[in-house]
Amino acid sequence: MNISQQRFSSRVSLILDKYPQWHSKVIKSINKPPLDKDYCPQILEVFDQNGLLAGIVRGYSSYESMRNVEQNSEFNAWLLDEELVVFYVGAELVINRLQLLQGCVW
Amino acid sequence: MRIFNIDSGDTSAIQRHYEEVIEALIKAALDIEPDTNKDQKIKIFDGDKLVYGQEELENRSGNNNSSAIYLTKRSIPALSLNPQFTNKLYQLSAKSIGETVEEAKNIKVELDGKIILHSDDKGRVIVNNLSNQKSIESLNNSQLTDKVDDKSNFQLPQSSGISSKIIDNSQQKIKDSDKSFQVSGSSQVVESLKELENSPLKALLSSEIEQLQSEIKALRKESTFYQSLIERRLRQPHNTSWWQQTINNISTVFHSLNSAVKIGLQEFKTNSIHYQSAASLKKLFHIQTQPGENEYQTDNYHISRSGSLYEVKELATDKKIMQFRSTGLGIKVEKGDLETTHIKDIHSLQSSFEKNESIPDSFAPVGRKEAEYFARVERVVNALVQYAILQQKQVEIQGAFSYNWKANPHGEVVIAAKDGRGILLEKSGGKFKSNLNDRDLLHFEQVLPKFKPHQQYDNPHMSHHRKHSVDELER
Repeated sequence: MNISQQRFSSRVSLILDKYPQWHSKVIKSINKPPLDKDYCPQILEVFDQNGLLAGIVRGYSSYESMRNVEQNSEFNAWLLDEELVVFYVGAELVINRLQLLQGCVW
Repeated sequence: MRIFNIDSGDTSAIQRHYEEVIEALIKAALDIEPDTNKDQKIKIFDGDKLVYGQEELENRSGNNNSSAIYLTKRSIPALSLNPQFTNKLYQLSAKSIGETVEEAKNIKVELDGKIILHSDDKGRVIVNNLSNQKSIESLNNSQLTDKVDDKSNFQLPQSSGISSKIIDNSQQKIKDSDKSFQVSGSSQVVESLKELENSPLKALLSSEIEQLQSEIKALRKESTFYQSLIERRLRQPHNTSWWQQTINNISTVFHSLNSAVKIGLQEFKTNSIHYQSAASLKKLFHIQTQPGENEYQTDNYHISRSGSLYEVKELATDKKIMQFRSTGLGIKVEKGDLETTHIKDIHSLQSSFEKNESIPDSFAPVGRKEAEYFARVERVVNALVQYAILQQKQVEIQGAFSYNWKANPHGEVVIAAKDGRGILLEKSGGKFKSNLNDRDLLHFEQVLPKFKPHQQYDNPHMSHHRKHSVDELER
């Protein structure tokens, strides 16, 4: 885990240390391959340190939570069908498994 | 009879897995959000009897002079937790304090040592600190913050009764003056995205959030059954696998879910079939067509594409069975009218993708079957002609059983059936006609190796083989 940690900036490391649940998700996902370009996720949810921000279940519903304005997101984690595929802290992109899908709108 | 040996390690692993499943089910029934940061201890009592959880046993050991008390833990294997009992839990959890579920008497649930649900000897709820209760009063004295993040509030489209309930609950915890300082989760995502540098990823994620926001706006105008499920989902903001756990677990165990949740689940499942079908058909289209092509036809279906819009028709009835649009990160199904046969065909397509096998006939490009048939017939014809060439004369076999056939070195072939069907294959001059069916072809394919030119008939050692071959051809 330390080896993986060295790859992160101090800002990212700080956040991951603060939220061990997300730390372990990031470690699990960081070396996973990009999603296939044909992949169509059914469930998309975005989380931050306070939990779920918004979600879509395709063809079924979209939903979101409400926050107080002072509750800024320290990071955003995008999960597609339960898999962490994008994770960023501020401008720093930590995980992007959507390289094959981006700009590929058929 | 086979006897399987399971070693003790496997047994305890199975037991552990079983207990995890039961625990997940209980949490789903009681709407307790799993906390991955700590090991949550649930104990369930039916009367005085512990029916689920770990009990602490006092063990006295040692001799009379120095006795010691050891506390040991024993897991109750959850065998007494049948669906009927779990249903009682679910019903109790949905009641407010003072309400009664007659068949659920003297039930107590503890989470990490705190009583979160309790009924008396009449089935009357005396404690309910779970988040899915109806009463706002009980929220006041509850430890709701143990399960629902006290910093987050949830919002659903405002037209439904359910949504107003949730909003009411949230408002319990927010002073009126704070309301104007609230922001929606999606706006917060938009804000965070602004910090990312411009890139295709940023464009993709931004378009997804825009789509989500416009859908939420549209949904506020209508009231549908989905809300009862969404309500449950929003109660567990830290659970990143809520949909997967719920869909897999809850529907199989809780037969007496309230009807709105049941209809919601059913609707989810139907939509899920349509969604997965559309995703597979889109994948098929892109595997089978070149960029820029807008149509794909199989023997049974026709898929057309216009920009991001896809339409799927069944050829036999000319009926449109699906219409969907591709979006940045997924698909939006606009029309789904799938019947059992279509779903079956699509399942076999999905299975061929998973197993990396060739596409099943119903979705193979039109003409593939004909092309395969023609290739098989040609192999048979060529083999018979090669045989005639080897013999350097016209060969005519009056078979003993099924077929008469003749072939000459000029490439002319006739095959006739002896079962009354007459000529099955005729190739002469420019004419080539074949009515060979699959069984006929299989017969000739089985004897094809005997026609192979590598058989050296001038080799005296092969004479036995030649005799054998001709015997087979004469069937």
